[in-house]
Amino acid sequence: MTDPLIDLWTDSEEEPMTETLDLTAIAARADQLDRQLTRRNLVEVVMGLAVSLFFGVVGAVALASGAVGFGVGGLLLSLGGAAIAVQIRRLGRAPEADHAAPTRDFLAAHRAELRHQIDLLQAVPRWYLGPLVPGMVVFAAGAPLERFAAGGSSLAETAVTAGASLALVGVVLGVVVRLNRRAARTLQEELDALDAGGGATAPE
Amino acid sequence: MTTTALRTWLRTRADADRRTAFEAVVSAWGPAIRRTCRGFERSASRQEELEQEVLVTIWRALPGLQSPEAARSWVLRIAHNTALKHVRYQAPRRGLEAADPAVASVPGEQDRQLDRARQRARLHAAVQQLPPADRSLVLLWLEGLDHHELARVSGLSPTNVRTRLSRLRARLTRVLGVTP
Repeated sequence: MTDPLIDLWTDSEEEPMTETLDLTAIAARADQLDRQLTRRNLVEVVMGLAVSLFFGVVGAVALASGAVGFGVGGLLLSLGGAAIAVQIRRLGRAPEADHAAPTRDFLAAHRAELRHQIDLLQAVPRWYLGPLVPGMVVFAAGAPLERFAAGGSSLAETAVTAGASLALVGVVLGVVVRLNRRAARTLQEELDALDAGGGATAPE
Repeated sequence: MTTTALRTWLRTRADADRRTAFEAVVSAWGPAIRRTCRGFERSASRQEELEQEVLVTIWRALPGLQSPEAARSWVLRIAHNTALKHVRYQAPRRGLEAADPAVASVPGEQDRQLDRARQRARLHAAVQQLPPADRSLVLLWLEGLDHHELARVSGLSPTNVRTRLSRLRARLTRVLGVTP
């Protein structure tokens, strides 16, 4: 005999999904998502390399024209961009959880995915900003120091200009760090809530 | 028909057959997917969003389907895993809210259908109060899966499934006042 709750649950009249939903559009959306995922990693690497190339050229041109500060800063930023592209390839992404797997395995994979993202976001100062810092510092302070060395500005003026430029760099880096920490906190909350509500994966 | 469509797709891997297989899956298990989405999400817009997400996931996962005979549990696994990822996690409640006696009363035989609809709405509400993992287990059971199928979908042992389900079923029965 069927349970009365199962009867109650399943005897409702449902409009067929094939009539209420555009399955062609859904399939097209799914295919588009697949293409986006394939393109995403490539775009990130290409962007890193483009930044690297751009600052490499800027640095080389600046050095050739005698602007040592901009030149060295540009070349360091170029190296930083290349290092980030390599890091993105190396760190990559945790594999997407298999939705067709048993729920326990799926949630374990989803947790690992979230953990990986949190770790990456928390480590942004080290792997993402770190390689850019030397280039940004030289880029910001290089020109005022060069002017000072050439006798074009006083020590006080140099200190103020270089200090302001470095402060601006510090603020930008600080904002990036804060935004990434906030994103990491949001994901951590999701992970904590998943642990609290995901009793199906608790040890038996 | 569903099995035939899936078997054809698994054999040919042709785009047109994939589309036919997808339609067959949605046609056969669409109502179960819809009920699952309603069980997980409260608002109509979130239910609709989840439905679409489940269907997108099914389409993307079709190439990985192993056997047409296992398609039902495969669909339900995808629906539940997608829902568990989609649902906004909230702190689990300690107990289910008591049934509203005014709604619980049975008015008469001619109002049977209306009463069933009310009872179903209360069942929805009761299920939605459960923590997501328990909700998933109850929803799978309500779709008619036996303990072994439930164990395969959830990844839990049959014994664990039986224990948890017995507790959850007792709570639902008590809250809804349904005689087992």
